Amino acid sequence: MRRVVPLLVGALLLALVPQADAQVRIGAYGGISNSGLTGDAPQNAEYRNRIGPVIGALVEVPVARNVLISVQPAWVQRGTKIAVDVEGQDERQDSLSLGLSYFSVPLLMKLETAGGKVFVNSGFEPSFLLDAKLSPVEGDGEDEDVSDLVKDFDIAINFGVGGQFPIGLPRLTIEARYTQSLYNISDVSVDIGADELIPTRFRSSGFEFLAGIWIPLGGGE
Amino acid sequence: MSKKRVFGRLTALGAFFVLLFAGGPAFAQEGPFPQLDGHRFSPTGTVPLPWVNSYIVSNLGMGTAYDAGFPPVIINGDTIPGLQGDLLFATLDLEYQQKIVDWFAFRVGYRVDARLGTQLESLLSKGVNTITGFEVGWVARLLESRRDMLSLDVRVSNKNYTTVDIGRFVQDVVDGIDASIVRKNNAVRFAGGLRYARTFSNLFGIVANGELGVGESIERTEDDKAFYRLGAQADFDLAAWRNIPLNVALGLQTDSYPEATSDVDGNVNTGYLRLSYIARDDFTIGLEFSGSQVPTRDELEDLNYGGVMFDLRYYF
Repeated sequence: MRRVVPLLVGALLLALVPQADAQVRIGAYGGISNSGLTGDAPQNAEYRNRIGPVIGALVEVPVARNVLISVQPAWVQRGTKIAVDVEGQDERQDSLSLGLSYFSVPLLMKLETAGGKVFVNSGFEPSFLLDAKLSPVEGDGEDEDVSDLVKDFDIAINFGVGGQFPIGLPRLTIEARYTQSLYNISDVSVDIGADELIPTRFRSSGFEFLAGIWIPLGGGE
Repeated sequence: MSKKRVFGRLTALGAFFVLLFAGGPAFAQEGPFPQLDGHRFSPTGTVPLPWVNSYIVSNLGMGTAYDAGFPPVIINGDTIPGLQGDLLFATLDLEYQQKIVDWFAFRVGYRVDARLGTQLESLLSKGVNTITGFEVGWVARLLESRRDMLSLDVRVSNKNYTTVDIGRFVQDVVDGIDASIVRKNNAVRFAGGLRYARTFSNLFGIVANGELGVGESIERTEDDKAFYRLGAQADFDLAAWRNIPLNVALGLQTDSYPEATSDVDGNVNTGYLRLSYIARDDFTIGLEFSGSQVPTRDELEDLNYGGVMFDLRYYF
């Protein structure tokens, strides 16, 4: 075992070393996260999608022809709207908004096709909770800190597709990415009943629409 | 978390990527249809093939469980005797896979399943269940030789379960608690595994797959469960025998944690016979007859299920 582990680590390092004719890329990106919660919704209520910002940086290391490892640390706000039954209304009304702010580090494998203009990516996204706030959708009610009801850590799987276009040396990149949390982020250990808004089991999922820019380190094509 | 555990996890992740990148192109495929050394394989959803190609497929299936025996139901202290009745199952499934590079393809699918009692007794006991949801995943070829192919498959699914439970609704009304005739739930599953195919001759080949995963239970009070799925298929290409454009496949699968129901108590074992009409290199029509034995918590005996699935698959 002692010999196998260094071999595996060595193989990983070799895989991450850029090819002689390939260049490491750095850049920044931003966009919106259109996400919601899936799981046990409270009684007489349902989850609806909520839009939040995404801001991040990226480092991409070529590891093979048209294949890169992309690390994209970001601040992202996920969450959900909670729609509840309201007397006199036929449809449920958005009443509360749950905002979950994360520092996330997507680790993606990126595959480029068609001369590098189209790409897909996939990988895992560990996220660390920064804060969790519940606020009314309308009115001046105060935000309530609900961090103790949500786990500090989440991990999601990502699937993305996008395009990248040269604007001089830099490349402009746009992407649609589906994110599905694999982890129950509820930190409530018991069923807290029909009147509460935080159920015992829920996960985050949704789409991110991103735009960014990157440059190859050292310039050139 | 200890440094040793962190190091171990990083090593596992590194090994995963190294393994992934080992799958470079080896042999160019002859056209879009899955074949190895002249043997054309029958594509099924039960034991999936390891090929990295682009296709779109639609599946339409129906099945039934005859004379299922249900245990006595107790409502408000009164025991209603055990019942018997038939259960009807229906499935509609659409799947699209796109090859990105020679050794890697993405996949997305959407599936609707329904289960309902066809008689008053089974309707009362089992109600109506529908499952809708999608699955995304990818397949990466790891190895290919003239007669073998091995791929790595990863998938994640997100399914919504809707249950119309008449018996439970009546019980809740009797108990005087907030009764709801329709109950909704959601479950996410993540799984990964290997797919393998081997050609022995133009006439005969085999397909096998195995996967491990973890997923939520439909029942909200139950914890997440690890599960596995194993399958194998014997594949006969009759074009090599009498130039008949037909493929016959016989397969078996065992699933420790099927998605379709929450009351399974043990592995669901399925056997199937599949006929694929392969008149063109880019299109198949398939008919799959299957039988399953489903051990359940509620029924007095194992459910015996029989079904048929019709599919159209186009490669491009």
